Amino acid sequence: MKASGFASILAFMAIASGAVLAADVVEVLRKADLADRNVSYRGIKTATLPFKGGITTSLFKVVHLKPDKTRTDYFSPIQLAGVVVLQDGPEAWKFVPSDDVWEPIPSCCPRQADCPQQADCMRQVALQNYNIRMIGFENIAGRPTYVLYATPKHPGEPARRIWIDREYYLIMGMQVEARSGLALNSSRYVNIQFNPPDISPAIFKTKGKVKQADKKLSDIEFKIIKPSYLPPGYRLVGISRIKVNNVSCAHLQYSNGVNLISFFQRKIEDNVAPPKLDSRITNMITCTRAGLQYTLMGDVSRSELRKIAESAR
Amino acid sequence: MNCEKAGRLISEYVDDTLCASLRRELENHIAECSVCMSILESTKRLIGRLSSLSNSEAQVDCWAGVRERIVWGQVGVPWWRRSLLKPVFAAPAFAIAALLAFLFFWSGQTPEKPTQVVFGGSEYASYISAHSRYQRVQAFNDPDVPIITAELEKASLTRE
Repeated sequence: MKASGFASILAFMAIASGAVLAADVVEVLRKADLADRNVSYRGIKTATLPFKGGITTSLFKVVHLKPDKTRTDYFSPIQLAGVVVLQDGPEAWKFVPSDDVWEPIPSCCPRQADCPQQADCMRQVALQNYNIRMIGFENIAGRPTYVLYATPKHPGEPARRIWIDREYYLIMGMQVEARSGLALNSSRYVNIQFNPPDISPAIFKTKGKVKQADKKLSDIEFKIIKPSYLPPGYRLVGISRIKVNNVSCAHLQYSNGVNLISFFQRKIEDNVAPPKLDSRITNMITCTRAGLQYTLMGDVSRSELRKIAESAR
Repeated sequence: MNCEKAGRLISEYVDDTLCASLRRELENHIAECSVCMSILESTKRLIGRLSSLSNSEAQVDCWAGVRERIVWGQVGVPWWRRSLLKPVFAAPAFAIAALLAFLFFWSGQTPEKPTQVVFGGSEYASYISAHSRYQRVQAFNDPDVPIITAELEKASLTRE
């Protein structure tokens, strides 16, 4: 009796501590979404990702001034050398050396680019599709971090490993992993300084030629076709318009909170075949149907993208 | 020892090839002459920088161009005539002339085609940019990785 009672107490404590840890994980994630508002920092990051059958490593510098100014200078690989991305509140620009002009990056949020409401919404959707738990503590760039592991509830999705600074809750590293544990891509800070006193607001201003943002886009002149099939966990999270060579296109965004599928539709003339695309460059498929060109890209397999396209009738 | 003589000896002094008596004479002069002192210091700096250069071959082979100029100069051919005889000028000139002739005879015969908008790399690049903007705001995502991926993909599309 005593042994069974003791075992019951242990089981209750294990369940209770698991519940506490789960609540802590959600709280850590919530604080991580708000970290940029609470701390300034300057650091060097590295990202490793697959590209065209090989592995590419990128090196870049991030300077952030709380609450909402961020400058990222890319050094490598050569295709990104000299590229600068600026975020100043709701506005963002990108500078590409070959064009020698600052190009505005349209906001993807109806409120603002980094609104906490959107981050909260995405996190809620992500927690519906992923189980996330704290698996330990490690040091990244000399900083103690929580290590969180997110495993997908649906098959076919990669897992995520996240390192979050224990003092400021800044995400110090991220790794996307296949089911086998193989890292598909990763990024992390290699050094970082929090609250440096010498960050000048002037570095977040564009200097030189600035391209004007596109004027209000004309309405979509065709009926948008929504697919009847979606991979498990995905739902429509937004529809927007983009301009491609002066032609308005519809952009449907489907997300499971973590991964994104983009479905682009535009009108075409005379069922012209879509231009060919090297499949090694990007995970994208394109096809035509009933006077529309469909282009889909995203973090799911091509067979899934084709199923989505086939179901759009 | 005057400044003119000292100026001629400074280089050898830095190379430590002067005899003892000349070296003493030069040093006595430099101690009293600020102009020669500054010349000595700048000469030392220059030699120091030259010594620190790596012993690697020049990336551009200039000898071929120099040799050609010497040869043509000896023959006495005017520079404009030499230029016209070079394949690098003659070939493009002939190609341009042939193209102009072709266009002159062809433009009067081919009926006009309606212009057709051809999408391709620029269209896919726009989709990649739009997709990466929304990828940045997904949960459990590093917002920098979609930008890197997008720029790499767009650069490849531009080259295709």
